[in-house]
Amino acid sequence: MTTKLKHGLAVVVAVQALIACSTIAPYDQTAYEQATSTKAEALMLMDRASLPYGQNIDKIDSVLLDINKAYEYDKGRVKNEITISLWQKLLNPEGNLFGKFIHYWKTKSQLHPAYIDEKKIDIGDAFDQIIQLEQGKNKTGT
Amino acid sequence: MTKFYTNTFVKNVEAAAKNLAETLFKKYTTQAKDDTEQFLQAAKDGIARSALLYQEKKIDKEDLEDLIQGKKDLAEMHALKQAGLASAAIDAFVNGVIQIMIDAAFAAMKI
Repeated sequence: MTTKLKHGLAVVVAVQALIACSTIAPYDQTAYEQATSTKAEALMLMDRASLPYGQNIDKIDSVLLDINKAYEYDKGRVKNEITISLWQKLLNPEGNLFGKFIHYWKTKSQLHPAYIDEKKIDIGDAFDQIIQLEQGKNKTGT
Repeated sequence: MTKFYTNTFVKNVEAAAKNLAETLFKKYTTQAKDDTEQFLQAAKDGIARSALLYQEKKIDKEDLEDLIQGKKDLAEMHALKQAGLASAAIDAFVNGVIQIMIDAAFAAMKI
């Protein structure tokens, strides 16, 4: 084996070893699009919370289904634990963000418009954390 | 006959990797600092607005408590995102070093 070939092989082995060490999933366009579209759906739904919960069940179910699809998609990705944790924080009915908002709406039937406006700022920011993390992931796939 | 200049290889990799680390991690640190400052300011403003809404009786006590507790969950989400971005920066650094090593290896080989 020539010296050049040996060096070439050494570099290839080193490269493969380093690639295997990636710590977080690469950027995924579908995940990004799902996070941005479900953010818009969630904020639009929140605007309806000044009306009775019972009159909005179909809308609520539809938005929750889309959000859960986005969450399940991210759950299926390798090395994606941080994004999964972000979705769980957002959706936890016993937390203080979107999951709780839906639960709170159901409990109170109708919510104060001023509360909804303030909560929308926080829920929007919460979705932004998922979106910004996806944007910040490496585009190369390694 | 191929000759591999090991010293040249090591020197080139070290210099380029140092430069890459400075660029990548400085960018990450600046973004993390800005994000934290913006979040803290937004949280402070949000709590002040919520307190005012409560005084004006536009929201009730339960609403106010929920809005304040929401900031805690949001802070955790900002921290999680920063942890994720730090991981992505480390991966970008590793990938950059790989490319540097390949380029330096070929540059150090003279036929």
